[in-house]
Amino acid sequence: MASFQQNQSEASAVIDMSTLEDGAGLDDDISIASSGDEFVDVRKRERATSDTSDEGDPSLAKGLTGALGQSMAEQVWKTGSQQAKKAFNLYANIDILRPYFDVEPRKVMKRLLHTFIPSRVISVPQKVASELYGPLMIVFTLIAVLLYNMKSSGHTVREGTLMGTAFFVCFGYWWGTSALLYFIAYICNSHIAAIQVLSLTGYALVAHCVVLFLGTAFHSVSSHSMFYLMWAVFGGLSTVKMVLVYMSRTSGQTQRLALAGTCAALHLLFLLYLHFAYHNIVQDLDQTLQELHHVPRVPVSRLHDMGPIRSTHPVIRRVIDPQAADPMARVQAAGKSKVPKTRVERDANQQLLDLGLKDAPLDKSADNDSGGENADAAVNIPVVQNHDQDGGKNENLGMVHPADLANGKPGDQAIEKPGEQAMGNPGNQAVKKPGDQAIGKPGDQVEEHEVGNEENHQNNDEDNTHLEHHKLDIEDTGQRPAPAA
Amino acid sequence: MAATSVDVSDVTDQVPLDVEGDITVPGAPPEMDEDDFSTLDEPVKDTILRDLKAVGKKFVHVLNPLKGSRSLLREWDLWGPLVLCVMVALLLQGDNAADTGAPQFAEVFVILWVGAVVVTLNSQLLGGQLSFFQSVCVLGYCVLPLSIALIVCRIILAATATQTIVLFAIRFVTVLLGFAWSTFAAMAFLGDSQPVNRKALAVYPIFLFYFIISWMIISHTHSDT
Repeated sequence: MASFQQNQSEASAVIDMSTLEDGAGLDDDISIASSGDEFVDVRKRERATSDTSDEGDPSLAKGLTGALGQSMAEQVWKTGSQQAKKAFNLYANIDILRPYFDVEPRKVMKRLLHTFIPSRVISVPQKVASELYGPLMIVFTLIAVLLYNMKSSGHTVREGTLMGTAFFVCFGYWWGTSALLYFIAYICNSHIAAIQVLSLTGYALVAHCVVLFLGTAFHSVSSHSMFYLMWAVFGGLSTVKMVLVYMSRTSGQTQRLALAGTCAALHLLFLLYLHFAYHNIVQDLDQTLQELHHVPRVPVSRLHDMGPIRSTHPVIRRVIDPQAADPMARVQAAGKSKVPKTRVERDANQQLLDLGLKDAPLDKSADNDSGGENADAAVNIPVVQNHDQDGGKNENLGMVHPADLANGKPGDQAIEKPGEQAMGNPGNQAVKKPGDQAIGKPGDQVEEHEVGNEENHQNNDEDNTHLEHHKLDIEDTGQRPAPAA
Repeated sequence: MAATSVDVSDVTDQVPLDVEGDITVPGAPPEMDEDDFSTLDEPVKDTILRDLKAVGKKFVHVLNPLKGSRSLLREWDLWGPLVLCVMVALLLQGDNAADTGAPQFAEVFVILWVGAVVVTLNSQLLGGQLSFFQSVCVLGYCVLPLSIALIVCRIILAATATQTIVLFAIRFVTVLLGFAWSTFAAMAFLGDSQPVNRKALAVYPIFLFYFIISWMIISHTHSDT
């Protein structure tokens, strides 16, 4: 009897109290829920056991086992949930990361500024912060700057996937480069920890943020030299800072060279890639179009990106040289001649036509002086009427231009649109080409912009139509078409 | 036997009352338990209306972020953020189905929720006092000014056939106002939970989060047909 009463009391009072005690350490809502559930269970159990206990002795024994069994089940449940919580706290505990976020705003600002101030002492290992708050915020800022880049380049069609791309690119670079550099540091016997490599690489991305933001805010057609200057100054300073840190923590000339070389190359090339991938340059466009002839395999998923290149190329040419009205008509005729069967084909055609239609609002705006574009508007009109849904899009795509025109860069907008796509696709080519061009002739390219090169136009006309057929072939068959030229 | 059965029945008779009494004593909110049992029997309409009133009250608190009101924090719920997030994602998605109609909704939805989670984790790692869901609740509710700005932008886009620079300027200013309001409201609710010397560190991600949402709104130029 006493034991039965004790069981009763255990079942009624003790478990409730322990549940309440557990609840003090947890999230308020979870504890309230669990105590409420257990309260309900206890009451049900009380009623169940009280019903069974009203009978004779045999049923009293049954009631005992019933109550015992239930209290045991209760204990098992409690232990199981406690173990689950322990495992959760062990593996998903953000407290693991808490030490890396233990900073003050002043320290973060100081570290940001010191990213551009290399320390020349390499005989003693330089101090590196093991902090993740700064790099994380810098990476998010870089993603925001990239979005700004893409928007100001006029790429409004696919905002969502651009966001995903920017996210993937920035975080991928941060973690991937850090992993690679830590691997090389491990091979070269550097005295540096993984978290320090992460922190160093992350802080060095400040240079990317600054250069990209200034480059987009103050960019004009003829001033790539400004970008290259900033690339050299900011990129160079942060690279030197990183290199000196690695050198101060590594011994041996070969190892130092390997680590420093990899770090510098990745850092500077990434900045170039970011600028040219999400920003537009006409000369790169020409080269891209020529190289696309010889690209062995074109992934179908990239065709969305490739569409605007070929279709807007005539736009660029038309802005520079008003006489280039025919290629667009030819391209559109080529596009219209094939009835789109597949969805991908229809998408590509629509992009073509959409971005071709972008000319019309540009033409209507007061800032464009070239008279030849009116002919293009006339060319575009029948296409507008054929595709009703494009009519709405036409105006809306054109709305980007007044905004950008308000910023005082009419020429840039037409020019800047497709470049990002041109450089976005063939990633390797994007990396190689700016390098080549950087080494090559920035000055000459600048002149080519303004003079207007009819030879290139004619070549590109052929390129355009060839590529148009290629694109449609690819979409139809999924195979690589034979290069036409 | 009879005595034990009487004792047992006495105990069982008293158990519900005693247990209720024990629970009220330690200070754990007993009203919740009573509510759990009392709200089970009420009509659905009452439940919905009560929840709607709570959500509406929180909306009002967001629009007038006063230092004194803490109901947004104490009684958090995720209904408001869900409604706002779905509305913003629906309005921001591209209407060209052949292009990226479906992914765009998913992208905006994911950005909003993942962004709120990241900002919350950051404020927790910096030593914030709020729980996870409280922060997510506040961040979600503070999207309200931006969603109002988005509705205004959509109206402007849909009202006129041709877009001029003036209209763009109006849209830009509206979104800027919404962004400032959202950030200020979020700061008003979340700022006090951070250690004083780290407030700036916690505010910057909030600023960036709402900046990205504002950027998505202002750059959305497709009007709905």
